[in-house]
Amino acid sequence: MLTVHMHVNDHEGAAVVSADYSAETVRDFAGALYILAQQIEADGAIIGHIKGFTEPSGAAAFSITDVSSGVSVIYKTDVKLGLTAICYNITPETLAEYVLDAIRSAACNQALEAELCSENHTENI
Amino acid sequence: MTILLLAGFLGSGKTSILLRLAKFLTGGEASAVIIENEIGEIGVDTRLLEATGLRMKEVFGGCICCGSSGQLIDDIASIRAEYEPDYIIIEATGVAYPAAIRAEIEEAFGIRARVLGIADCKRWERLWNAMPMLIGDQLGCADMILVNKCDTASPEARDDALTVLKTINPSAPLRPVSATVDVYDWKGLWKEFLQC
Repeated sequence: MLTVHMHVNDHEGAAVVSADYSAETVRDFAGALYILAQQIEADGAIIGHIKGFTEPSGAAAFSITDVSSGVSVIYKTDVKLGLTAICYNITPETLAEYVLDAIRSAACNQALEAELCSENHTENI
Repeated sequence: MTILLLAGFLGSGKTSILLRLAKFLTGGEASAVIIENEIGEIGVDTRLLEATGLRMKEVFGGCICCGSSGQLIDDIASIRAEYEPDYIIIEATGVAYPAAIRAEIEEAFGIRARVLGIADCKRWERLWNAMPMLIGDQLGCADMILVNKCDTASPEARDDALTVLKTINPSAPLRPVSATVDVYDWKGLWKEFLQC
């Protein structure tokens, strides 16, 4: 189970969502950001900026044993991942839902168990 | 001490440009301190800049052109007292109004900050149509404008951006670049900007 620390607010008309969490295994964080961007644009919203990081850097190991299995990406225990999404024409709450969807997909589709709220909070997914 | 202010919309390339500028300044043995202002509670750009070994001060949560302007002035004062750097480079948030920041700095220190505007050539038409007031204010007061991401924009998109930028800011030199590409005369650009 992942614990995601989130900050959800708005700034001068922009929806701002920041989220960070620690994970043992993250399959495709960059791909998750791409899915997030697709979801936002499909909604007709405007992406200001979506940016993410991993910490500490260089903590990933990559492994491939056969083409059909693809590349396994394995992170050290307690690698921290985080992102900030700043978008327009979308509510902060909707953006927060999309961010959690993206984190869920990066964490191999783990189920979301808690409800969203609009203030700073922690989600268990 | 010279204060440089990087301004431009979200995702326009300010941090990438800042990395090049800081490398140029410190490569010539000048000292520089960066003040990084980010919206959101997680310092993504700060982490990236810190990893390069640059001296940093971060301002989180609020925007320095409005609620956090007092903190900016305090930070500049303490940096000047502690480090006496040749340059302070301020990266504003992507929704900041640089004219207001420049006015605050001039009032507090009697120093006129040089503003480097960064325009997103790739997304120009979409962003200009959606928020012309913000982008016009951000780039209208710039001493020089870098028209970034030219390598990924069509020539027509670049020309459209240049045409509009000339009306927004008739006096600022406009320089098409790509922050991720070395082919441009970056040294020449920085020398030109520092003499604006």
